[in-house]
Amino acid sequence: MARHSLRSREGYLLIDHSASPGLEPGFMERIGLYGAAGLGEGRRFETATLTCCHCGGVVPINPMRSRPLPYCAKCDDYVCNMPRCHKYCTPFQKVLDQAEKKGIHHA
Amino acid sequence: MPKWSFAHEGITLTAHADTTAMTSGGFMALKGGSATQRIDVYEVYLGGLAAASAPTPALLGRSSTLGGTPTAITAPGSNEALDPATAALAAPQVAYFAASTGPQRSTTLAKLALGFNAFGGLVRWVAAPGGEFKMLGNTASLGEINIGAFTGGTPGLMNAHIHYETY
Repeated sequence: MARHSLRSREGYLLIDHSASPGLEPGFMERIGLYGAAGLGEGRRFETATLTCCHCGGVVPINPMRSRPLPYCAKCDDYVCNMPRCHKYCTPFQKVLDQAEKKGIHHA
Repeated sequence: MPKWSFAHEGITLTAHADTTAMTSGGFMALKGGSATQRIDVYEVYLGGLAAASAPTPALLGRSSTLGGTPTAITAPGSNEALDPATAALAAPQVAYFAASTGPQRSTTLAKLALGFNAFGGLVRWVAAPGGEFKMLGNTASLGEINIGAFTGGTPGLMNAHIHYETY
């Protein structure tokens, strides 16, 4: 698929509490969303998401992050913060292709 | 390729830790229709309908153990193609929110946190082309995804949809 830039593959996450009492501080961290401070009453949170090219997971980008996002030069794409995604380069698309072949062979 | 919408007009997710069977009626799950079917999930929306504050730690995750014998969905749930001209699939994907044994969310595989307050709140995730949440086949752990709630909240009534593409 043609891609114009790394950011062209960013997704979009909206959590809208404009008309809601919202969430207590720390609630989102307990289920793995960091950097989503300010999800209290009347607040609206928007951020980009990246899809890890190694595990296929979707990760919201912390809007307060100042360090560069983790990146795989071989895949020319973002990776998530999971250690195995930093250590090994096996594109998720390849994992799917291999699994599909395995499925065909075992059908 | 055909785009589909799996929707529920009034669901209350049930709180479950990872790798525990979800309770029928308290989750939404989508499973591939054959060993080689691919599905790209490109949008998830949860809109709160609760009448009182209901912090809902919703998660989109993969099933490490698939649900057993899914029950065919009934109103107020639906799983229909977005384009009315879509031809029937030879091996249709399986969307369900009840089963003889509920699916179990994987601890280790990718999850997307979709927490919000179901009293007036909403959460929506949209993937960029190429960045979808991908599925393959109809076995664990790539062949099924689910939306459920984690522990530590008080999930409330909501309507929800998952938009996806099969190929």
